[in-house]
Amino acid sequence: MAIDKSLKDMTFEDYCRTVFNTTKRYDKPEVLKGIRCVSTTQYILGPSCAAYLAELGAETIKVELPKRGEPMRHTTPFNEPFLYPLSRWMPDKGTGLGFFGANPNEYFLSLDFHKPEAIQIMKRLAAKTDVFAENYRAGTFDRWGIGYRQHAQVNPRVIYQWMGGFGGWGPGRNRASYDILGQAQGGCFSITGWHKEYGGMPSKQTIWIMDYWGGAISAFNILACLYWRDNVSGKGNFLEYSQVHGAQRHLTDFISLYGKTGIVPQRFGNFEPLLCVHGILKCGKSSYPNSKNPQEQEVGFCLVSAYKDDDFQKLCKMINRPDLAKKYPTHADRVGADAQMAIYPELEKFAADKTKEEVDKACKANGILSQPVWNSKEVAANEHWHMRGTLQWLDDPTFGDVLTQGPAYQLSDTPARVRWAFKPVGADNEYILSKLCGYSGSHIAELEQKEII
Amino acid sequence: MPFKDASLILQCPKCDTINYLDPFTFWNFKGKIKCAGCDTVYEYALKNGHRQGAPKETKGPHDKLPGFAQSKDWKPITTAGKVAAAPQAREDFQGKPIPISKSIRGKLVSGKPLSAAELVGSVPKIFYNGV
Ligand SMILES: [Zn+2]
Repeated sequence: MAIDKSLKDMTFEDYCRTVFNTTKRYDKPEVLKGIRCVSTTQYILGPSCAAYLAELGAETIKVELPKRGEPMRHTTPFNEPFLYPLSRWMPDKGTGLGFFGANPNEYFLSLDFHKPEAIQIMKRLAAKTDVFAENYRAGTFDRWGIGYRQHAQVNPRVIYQWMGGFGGWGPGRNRASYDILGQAQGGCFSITGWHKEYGGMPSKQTIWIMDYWGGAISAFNILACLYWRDNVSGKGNFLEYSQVHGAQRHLTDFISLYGKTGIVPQRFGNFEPLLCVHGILKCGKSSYPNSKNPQEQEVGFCLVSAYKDDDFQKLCKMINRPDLAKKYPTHADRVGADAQMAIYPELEKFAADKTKEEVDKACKANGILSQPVWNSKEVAANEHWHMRGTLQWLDDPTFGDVLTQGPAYQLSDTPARVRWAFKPVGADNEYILSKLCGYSGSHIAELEQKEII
Repeated sequence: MPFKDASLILQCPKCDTINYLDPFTFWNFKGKIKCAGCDTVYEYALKNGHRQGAPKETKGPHDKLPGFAQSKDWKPITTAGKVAAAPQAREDFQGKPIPISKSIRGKLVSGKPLSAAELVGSVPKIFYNGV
């Protein structure tokens, strides 16, 4: 965007508000427009990779088994929060909300890979596609004749991202992986969870963090290869991503600490091994005591950070315990495990008759950094995020009014966007097969009749 | 590979019913499964989601039921006792399941089972017609 006079004279905040205006993002071009991606992925790891490209404007075609679709459509939270229909053949079945967030903007093609005609369709698509994203078990597509080696013969510029648990070679390659397995084997769980004084259990991350992270890294690989293909070599590339190796990339200093000293880091729960006070306090009262939802009735939690010496003094004054400030005046006095185990219970005594909001208010009034631990309801109601478009109500063409996350990043001239949350299985069969394979309506109807699509 | 030999599926050799085996329950499984179509009980084994051979007819009682099944002409079988019940949350924990047709802010959302007559292509009629 050329910086015109009106923009030049704005404050920085007004400038950002103008160029990132989320109400205008559907009017602007998409940065990956012209790139075509075929996604034969399931669950979260692979789909999220394809979704990131689709949010940036790549024409992304998701290929699923006919009628029933991929397993994530049926892997839902409890209590059947489905969106209907699953497919035009199954109006009384729905897609679970677990499918949300990993499949926006995609075109939905159904193909039964067990039939030779479906393999032919995949080869026709390969000739016209820039990127393949795939997370079947390693080597499955190669065996079926639709892997990178076969596609590259038809289209040497194809970029093929395989994603999986343990890699396509090596003794551990044959295990199937899930997010939780990646986190366990990669070493993440060993350092998240409770200190031994609090029970010692490792804690699992409830969100599928290794899936979404792996999808992001895979999309990052793909963008690098598109650059190399289009600006350097003219050639495609075969890419492999292992979820377990990706989990290891998160381990910050823990691996080098072991390498240097032999120390195996311990869990420290809601406290922080490097700083004190810098953790989560349990408050004594619920913010919603009259709610019917037991999760809202439970007591609240509040993050408090006051690790600098003078902030810690303020905090001790706030809870009326100046003796603690005297006993633990410096960082070195406070950061040891015994000191932390003495300090946090005193803070929780202060919070025992308060809600998380009351603790937060007291901290802020005393110049101490704090933040109540928000639940989904509180996150969903936050004006800041709706204004910035990271959360949005979407008038979805198939499913109606849905609340969804958007991209966390902003691009001034070519913003990412969510056009639709997802679609039923096979919703775009006619569009894709006529446009990319040149099939007639009657041919497509015949494929449907033979249960190939 | 024929469809019926794909992993995590038991296509009944007698009645052709396709019994879908839920991956969490059947990923590593050796035991008896009852066909949702004709009630024949089969010995069946799966290892890492791969079937270890054809289903072998045997006598009941069965160990587990398929999670979902459909007849050869794609009619879903959902009768209790033929397929396993869906996992249910505790009502006191997450609330009672209610199929909804309005979002939390009161606008239309396609959140309840539809009949074929309520569809236009892949889109519920209420959205297609704009009502
Ligand atoms: Zn049968």
